[in-house]
Amino acid sequence: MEHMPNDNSLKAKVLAAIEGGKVTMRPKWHFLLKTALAIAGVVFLTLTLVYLVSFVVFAMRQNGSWYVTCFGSRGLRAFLTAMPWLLILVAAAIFAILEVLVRRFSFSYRRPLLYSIIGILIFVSLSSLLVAHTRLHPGLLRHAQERRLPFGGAFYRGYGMKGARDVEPGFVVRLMDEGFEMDTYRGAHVPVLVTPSTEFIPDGRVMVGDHVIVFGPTDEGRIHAFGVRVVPPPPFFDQR
Amino acid sequence: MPESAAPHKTDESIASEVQAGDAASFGLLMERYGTKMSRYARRFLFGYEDAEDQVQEVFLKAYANIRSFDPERKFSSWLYRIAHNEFINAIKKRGREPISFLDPDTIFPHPVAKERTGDEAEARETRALLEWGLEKLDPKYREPLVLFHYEEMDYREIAEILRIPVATVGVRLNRGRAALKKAVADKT
Repeated sequence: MEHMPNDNSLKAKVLAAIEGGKVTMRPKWHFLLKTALAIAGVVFLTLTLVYLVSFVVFAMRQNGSWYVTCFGSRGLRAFLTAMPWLLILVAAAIFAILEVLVRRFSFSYRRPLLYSIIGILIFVSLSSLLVAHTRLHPGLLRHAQERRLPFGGAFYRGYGMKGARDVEPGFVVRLMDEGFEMDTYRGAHVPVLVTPSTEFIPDGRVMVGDHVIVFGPTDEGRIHAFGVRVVPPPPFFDQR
Repeated sequence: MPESAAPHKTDESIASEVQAGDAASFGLLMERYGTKMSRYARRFLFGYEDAEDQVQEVFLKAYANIRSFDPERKFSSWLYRIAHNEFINAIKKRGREPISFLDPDTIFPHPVAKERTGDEAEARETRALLEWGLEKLDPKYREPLVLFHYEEMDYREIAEILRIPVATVGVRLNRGRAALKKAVADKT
């Protein structure tokens, strides 16, 4: 059995350290500041996470890849390839830090970790989808294109205007026998070839003026469409 | 001021006096908790030569941080939380026993285990097993067993000290007891 000091010697040592000034009481504001910083950290990280995830949704809607999962495994592959993985990794890291911070609070550590993970995921997902539906990102992208954004312009121009492979968003300008012609949001005029195997979502054909996502490879300036999906009109697309 | 001079004062009211600047009252808290902290350290830091220093460090930290204590809450839980942190840091520093950053027991929900109390014969048996095989247990099982069987805390208090869900306390206690019994079975 190990030897422990008797209580009197322990007490004497500790009280001597206190009286000798070797240890001093921290002021109340020190703890209030720590709590305030932890709360501020949680708020800041949550907002950053919502901003990042909503931007990912916006960027993928902007280049059309958000809409191609309905075209089977090829669509799913295109969706995964077009995902901005670096941003998603950064978001995952922020999520992990946020979870560690949140675990400091009793409402979180008294429950299984899974609950707080699910809670944060639901909150961030819903808030991000909400923010992605606002004019925030289209407005910032427009400012970035006009070089009027004081910072983050390159970020918006890089991710916000980046196209996705085999995915082209635009709107139908003319119907033809073998398909239709569309103006893309990147300013090009492209013929789209449609075959009996081309999948239309929703079922049926497109009409002039429809906003569409065309999914398929481009060959000699023409898109051979695997699939065409009619999508909501702007604000998700910058039509200039 | 000796303990006999303030027998009816609660820990929390003494802590309030310390917060207000009465450093001598801290001695009272040390009288009340010195033996308990030493016992906790001796059982949890089994085989660690510097357990005595760790207890001293616990009280020094408690004094330095006493203004973070809310007198509306229980002083003992607050002090044991400081001790838990100090002892876990000591174990990590030595690196002799594994302390995982993420414990799977705290990730998923478990049904809340019924608190096992009242069976004195079983408690005696577990304590005898603990005396024999405490050092054979993983710290994450050793600590709740020490708090439950030696410090006589309930699941809720243990959960608050370890900052884990109450159901996880039950899971760890059951697994700790099972590990002890297995160690006995392996030996015989």
